[in-house]
Amino acid sequence: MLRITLAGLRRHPLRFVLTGTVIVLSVGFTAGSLVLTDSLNRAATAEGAPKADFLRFLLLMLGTVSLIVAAFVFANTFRIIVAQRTRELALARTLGATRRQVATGVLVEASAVGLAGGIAGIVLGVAAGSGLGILIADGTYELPTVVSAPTILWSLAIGLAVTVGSAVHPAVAATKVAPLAAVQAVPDGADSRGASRVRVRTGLILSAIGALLLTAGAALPAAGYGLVLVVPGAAICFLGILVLGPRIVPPLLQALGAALAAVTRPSRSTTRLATANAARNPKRAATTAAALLIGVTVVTGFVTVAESARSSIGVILDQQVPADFVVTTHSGAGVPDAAIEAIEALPEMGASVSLSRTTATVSDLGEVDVAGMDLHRYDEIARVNGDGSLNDVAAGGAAIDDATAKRHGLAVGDPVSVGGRTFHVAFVVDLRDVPFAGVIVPPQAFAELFPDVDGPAQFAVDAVEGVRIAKARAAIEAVAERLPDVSVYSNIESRAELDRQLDRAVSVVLAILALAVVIAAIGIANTLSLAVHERTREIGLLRALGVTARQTRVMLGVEAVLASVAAAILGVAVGVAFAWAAVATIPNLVFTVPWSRLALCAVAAGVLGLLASVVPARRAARLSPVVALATE
Amino acid sequence: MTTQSHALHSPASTGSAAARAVGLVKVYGEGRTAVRALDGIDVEFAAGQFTAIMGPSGSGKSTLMHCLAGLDTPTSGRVLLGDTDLTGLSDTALTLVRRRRIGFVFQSFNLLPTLDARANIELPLQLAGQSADPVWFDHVVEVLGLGDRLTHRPSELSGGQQQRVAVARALVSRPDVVFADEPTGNLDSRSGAELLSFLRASVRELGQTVVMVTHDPSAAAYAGRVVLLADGRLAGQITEPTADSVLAGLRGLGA
Repeated sequence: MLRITLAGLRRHPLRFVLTGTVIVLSVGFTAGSLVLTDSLNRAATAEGAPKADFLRFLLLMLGTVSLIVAAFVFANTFRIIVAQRTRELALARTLGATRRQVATGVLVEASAVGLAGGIAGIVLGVAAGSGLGILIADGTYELPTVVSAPTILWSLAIGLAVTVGSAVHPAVAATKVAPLAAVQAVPDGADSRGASRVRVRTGLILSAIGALLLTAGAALPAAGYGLVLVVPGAAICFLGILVLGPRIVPPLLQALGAALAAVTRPSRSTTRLATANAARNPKRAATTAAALLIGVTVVTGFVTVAESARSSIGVILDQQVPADFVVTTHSGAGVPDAAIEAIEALPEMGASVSLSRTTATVSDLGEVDVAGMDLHRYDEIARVNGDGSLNDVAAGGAAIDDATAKRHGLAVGDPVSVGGRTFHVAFVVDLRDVPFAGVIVPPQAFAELFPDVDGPAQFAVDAVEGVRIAKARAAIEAVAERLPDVSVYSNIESRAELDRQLDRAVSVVLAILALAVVIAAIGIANTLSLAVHERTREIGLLRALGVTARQTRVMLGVEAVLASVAAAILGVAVGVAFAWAAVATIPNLVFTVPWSRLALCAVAAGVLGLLASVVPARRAARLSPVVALATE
Repeated sequence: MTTQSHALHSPASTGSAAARAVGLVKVYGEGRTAVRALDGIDVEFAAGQFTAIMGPSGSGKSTLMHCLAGLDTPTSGRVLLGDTDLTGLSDTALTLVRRRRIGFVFQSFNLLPTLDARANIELPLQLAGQSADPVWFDHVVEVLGLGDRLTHRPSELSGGQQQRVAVARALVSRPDVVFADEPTGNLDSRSGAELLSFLRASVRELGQTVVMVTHDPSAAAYAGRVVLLADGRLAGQITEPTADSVLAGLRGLGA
């Protein structure tokens, strides 16, 4: 049996090149991540700098996505290969091969690919990891390339686990081939059997549990804890969708195909044939889509959360006083009086306020943020809403945010002890209107209580109405330049800076996730080329009946595009739902869906599908009808 | 087969040749391993006739049919379909000729498993962006007894029914010639006889031209004329054949 297996490997090198590539890429990424972070850690240890543990965690998490996608592609390939080899396997069984020998044969084949792919992946990973290290070090320091034994062992183990693990099911299927199948018809890949009732029920239950956890997590009032429910909820729900795949994917393919046929009148019959082919084997269609579905769901979820974060930058930034300009110091020391006086003297500047901060023991609430700020002046920059009187605060009272007040049962008029002195609560302010939670006392009282704080942490100032922001900025920067340590930024500019940082982070993560999508596309190419192989006679028949070579290419192209776009649409829908739940658990984050980006994502998936069809479609179009019809 | 279908006369049958081979040579391979499958064949197939091509294995009968039907290109010589010279046509042009002017019935694997019987029958017309003439479609389907099978997939049809669907597909586009390649090879004798009767009726009653490749003398006896092939050459012909006369003719080839 082993000899038959290895003969199989030799006879069809192409299909193993394709599946092998999938393993090389996914193992290579993991190996590369390990090499890079090991190297960075060695350099960091030498310099006493913090380790790159978070980077390592992030890279390995993203790498796991690629590995899962690779496992799906691999399992699908093996299932198809076993189906196509029915006759060969049946012959082996007739000649006396036991079930165990048949299963072992399939597993040996899988481990051979896993081992070869793993080794090649390690080579690729070491090259990529050290190359990226050189880029990161940028010549400023010596970065050693660390290839540890655990890296090699883990990479090999992962490669083998993915290949052998995903070949178990096909191997079991191979043992079920009856010896009699040798004399029966050639498998043509048509399998109208859909999902079994047990499968549908399991899928529905899993999706329902997952959806329940998701919505419960999203609705959980306590900030941050919702994610504990949302993450496993998303995982269970996704598993349910994968289980339901054979029920969901074919109707989706048919609907897409019908829509496409309606808009492409001249090649309607070709589109119809392609649609029928795409959906002819529900399980295979579902697995092919699943690989891409995983990638698109993760990309969509990530992009949507990132977009929500972007539109919430205002919320994050407004931790600062929401004035046009905020003056701070590089060293973190207080803003010097000289700077404040010089800036206030500028004719372009209007309302301004200083904000001093510290933490102190407040009554029996423990350590609380305390700010010294003139709320009247602050009110001129950003309106303050709440209960009580700002005048009473100015007269020596304290203001407290409503969240803190509520938590501790404080109301206007209650006494509150700050740093040893007792104030009366004069104003309960809406938390959304102030840049921090805690207690606010007048600047005078703050200076007396906390003489160690050497000045305001922030000095915020608005430009006079009617003055152009650029002109105001030039004036304020001219002042700041004369004073050492003082820095000025405008909210508008820092918004742009945060935007840029977010864009950079999104691009890096998307580049890594693109690997998973590319692996899924290779999976589509693989499935399609195996389909062309098993449909050789059918393609010959079509060519005889009048399908031109070009129509054959179009037919396979449409089949691949339908598969990839169906996966993309499903992935976008699921990813957006997951992102909604995740965003709902983070307070102050506004859920925003980047529809144009997601549409682009679906189009990109379609293009990838089309590219994946090029090689198999060309081979199909080149088949001579006479030769194809005579194929066994 | 009690139909009055002479009014629904199908292709232009002018009495001239529907298909013709002139000095046809087909060589497979090169050099010392070259095989001359067709070695200079001149033959005509009259319109409105049922002709069987016979010969022992390796006589070149399938290759001849493939060249006549535009499925394969000859090494030299000419193939004419009506007045159209097929030799020298591009792959696409040949494909369009097959789609519009030729009908096929193969031995097995005639139908697309993903399409139901109706869609299989209409496929060549659909490819050409046309739809079937409903009167003609219903007539063909009725004659072949497929009326209640149109929504069935091939896997739900018996072997005989599958072959009848293939015949319906070949007839419904009213092609210049129907080529049948061992159409009864996979059928039991009763279904085979039924299918051959249909083919003969399509010639007699619908005016169709049919060229059939077979190695079965009793199948050939349904034809109006038998062309005998041996070693890639024409080895004689029999008009108004019977199973016995065909068998005798084959023996004469030394087979």
